[in-house]
Amino acid sequence: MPLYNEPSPLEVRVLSKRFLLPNSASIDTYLANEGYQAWRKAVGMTQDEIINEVKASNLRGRGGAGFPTGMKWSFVPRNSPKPKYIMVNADESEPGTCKDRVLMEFDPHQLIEGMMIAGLAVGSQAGYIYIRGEYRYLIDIMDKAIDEAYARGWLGDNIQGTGVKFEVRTHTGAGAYECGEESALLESFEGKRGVPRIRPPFPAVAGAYQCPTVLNNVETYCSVPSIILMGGASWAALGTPKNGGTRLFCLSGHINKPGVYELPMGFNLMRMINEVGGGMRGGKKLKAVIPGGSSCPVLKADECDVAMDYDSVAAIKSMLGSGGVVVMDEDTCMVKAALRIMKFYAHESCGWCIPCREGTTWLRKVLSRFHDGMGRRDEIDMIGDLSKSILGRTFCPLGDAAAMPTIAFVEKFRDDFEAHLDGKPCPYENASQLVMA
Amino acid sequence: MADPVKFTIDGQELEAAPGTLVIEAAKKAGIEIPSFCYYEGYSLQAACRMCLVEVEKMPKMQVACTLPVGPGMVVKTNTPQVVAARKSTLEFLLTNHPLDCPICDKGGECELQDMVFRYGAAESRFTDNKVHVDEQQWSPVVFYDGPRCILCFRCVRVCREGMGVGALGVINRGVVSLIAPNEGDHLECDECGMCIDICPVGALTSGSYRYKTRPWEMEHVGTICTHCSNGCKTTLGVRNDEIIRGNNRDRSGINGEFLCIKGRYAFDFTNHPERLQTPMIREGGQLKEVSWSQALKFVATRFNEIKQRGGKFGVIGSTRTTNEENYYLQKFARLGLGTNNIDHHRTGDVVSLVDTLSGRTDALATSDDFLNRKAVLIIGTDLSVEQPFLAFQARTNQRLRGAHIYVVTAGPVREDQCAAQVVRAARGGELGFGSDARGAGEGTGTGGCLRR
Repeated sequence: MPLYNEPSPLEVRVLSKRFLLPNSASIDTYLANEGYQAWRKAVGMTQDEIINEVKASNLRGRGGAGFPTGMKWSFVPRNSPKPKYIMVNADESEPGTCKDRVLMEFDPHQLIEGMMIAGLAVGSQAGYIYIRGEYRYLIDIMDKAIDEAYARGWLGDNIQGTGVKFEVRTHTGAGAYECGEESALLESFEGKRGVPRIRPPFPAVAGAYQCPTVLNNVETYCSVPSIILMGGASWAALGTPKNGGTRLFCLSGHINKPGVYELPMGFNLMRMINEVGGGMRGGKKLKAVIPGGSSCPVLKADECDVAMDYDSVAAIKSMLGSGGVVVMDEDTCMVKAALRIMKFYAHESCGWCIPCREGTTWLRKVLSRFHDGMGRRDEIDMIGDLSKSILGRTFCPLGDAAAMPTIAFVEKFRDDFEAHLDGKPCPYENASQLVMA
Repeated sequence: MADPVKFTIDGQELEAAPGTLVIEAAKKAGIEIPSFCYYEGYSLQAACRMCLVEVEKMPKMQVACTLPVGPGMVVKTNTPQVVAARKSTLEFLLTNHPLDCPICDKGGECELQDMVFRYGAAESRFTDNKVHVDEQQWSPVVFYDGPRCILCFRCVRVCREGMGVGALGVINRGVVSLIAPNEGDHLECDECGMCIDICPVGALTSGSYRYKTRPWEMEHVGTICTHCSNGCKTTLGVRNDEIIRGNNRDRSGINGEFLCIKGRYAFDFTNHPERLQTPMIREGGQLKEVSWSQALKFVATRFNEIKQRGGKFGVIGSTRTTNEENYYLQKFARLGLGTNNIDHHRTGDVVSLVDTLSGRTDALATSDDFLNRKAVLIIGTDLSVEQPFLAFQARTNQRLRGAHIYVVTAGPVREDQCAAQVVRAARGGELGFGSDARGAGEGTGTGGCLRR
């Protein structure tokens, strides 16, 4: 049986509670362990009751933006004569993030059940799982789970004789970070070029095929069955105020036990590194942490005594993001880290708008030159300045995602940039390479 | 109509219909909000970010090209933040745009040049290598130079939305994104040149014009295209008595900036060696060049002789000449020649049409009606080929005002794409469709019915 990583005793395993069971992806294992019971309960509830339960859970979008899920569902116009769609964003591509992968690999039926409950909440009879193309093996796993669910009467025209109809299909992306942005995902899903749409209208009103669409991250849907079973308030109580429940944190970088760990919202970051992640590798000193995937401003070591929930991390001007915690030790070159991230964004910029398209590549070139020791002192400020010229001015958040971490790298680790000037080689050249999950 | 919305731009208190975009409202008030991708009449992109403005009570700058005016909205288009944003967007654009304006075919009439002149920085901080790809030729008349392209997507839209062709798309991603023919290496299109015309920079250039002149060396001479009966205005770029270019960028004339392949390119006959440039008179079986006064005198003498001996005249005009020319022709026929026998070359059953319309006033449609009426009925013509401008008007009407286009033709035509209903009739029998199709044809599926 594949095991993603050694579990930690500090985990609170709600979404991942079946991960360690034999054949955890099979419908038999799922049914024997509370599977589809939440849907049975939800069938007896009104649409408002389901949505209120999700609101009470304080579940916030796990894709990165942290928008309250129950509120998002309530925006769907229920009296619309158009079909409504449940769309799953499984285009997990934020560097440092690998949680949707394990959720689909080890418990695919939990995702299907979450979608089905969302379908009941907004009156939808069809759901699609948009999976990034690189997750080919997960598409197979999801397809197998969907087939099982149809065969056992958990999907189809008349689910378990209740008369409720719900269909689910997978849809593959073609390898673009941009398609994790909800409106670009919808464009791509409709077979078009993956560029974002002008909003409003938002997907809740005009999403897939211009029909009302609930669009959430994999983990968000996977949270829903336990919310319905436990009750929203109990689920919320697992976390901190306004930050309900648990979430899957993806620990990577220079720690002894990298892996995916389910921890309550608000779990302290230093404890996460030292107790869950087994401390710094080789006993090195902590230098910096990217708290929520590559788009989140980096934290200096002395900022890391922080509760990992949306509001606490926002209070120190970073973001909880998608839960990708990248830990960097004292031997890490911050210019190289900034360059690695900018290479990613320059490569992934969809090219639609000018500041992102041109700005990310310019920054990549400058950072690359810096790391080669060819930086000029006046360009240190320029890097921050160019990033600020992207920030808030682009069509979609991809530009912000590239700008925010870069601004933080320059502001917080200026010494590292100054160490690269005047033809000096990278002082960290022989140090250990940064490993990102 | 709904009550107008009241709002403020740069301190000016303004009013506009609900739904009016800030960029349009500003333009009407004489305030320029710069943009590349926004183009009146085509779908909104919000891609170039040049039109960012400050709006009170909104945390971030907003794009004026997609933001409708709202009651009490306070817009500022000239704050330090807005000025800085424009400057940096242009600086970003120039990182990869070649700065070889002196040898660029667009130099002197380039929107990027003008924009940088007005809103850009004098210095660039960019010192790294530019992205380069080689120029491509997509057709005899269309050349594409990728590095010059600012990806405003105007060409893609004018081809898809305006012409109903859709020959252009976008390939690659990020900074190496390029406009590309949807057929790979060449264009499958009308070669109308609208994409070249609408390109704000020197990315799309015309094979028949490029590198022949600097734009300021030409005189721009307005005239009427004679290649079909639509009567589009075309503005000919003339240098040293040679026509070098045709376009209608000043949007004068009934056609605005529209021109088809003929109006834009079909002027080379003017300098053809076989073109008759002087009148000739046949003397003793030989044609002899004479002056216009000699020729006219000769014709007048002969006409008079025929008239004296009681001869009769018939006059054939043309749909391809202007209204004014046709007016003079019939005047000459009636007063000069004393005949009412006036006709012209016809392709349609005009007699039946005139009969049908007889006794009704205001019944003949103008090209403007194609743009503004609620419905257009197209019978027995491949409009995009025979009357490209009218087809453009009908498409625009459908796209912007939701007009219903009805098509009755023997075979598939481009207007099928935007038609509310399509009827296929036997070739030559299209005019008779009414009796068959109005009752029986509708809903029976005779002739594929497309609906958008």
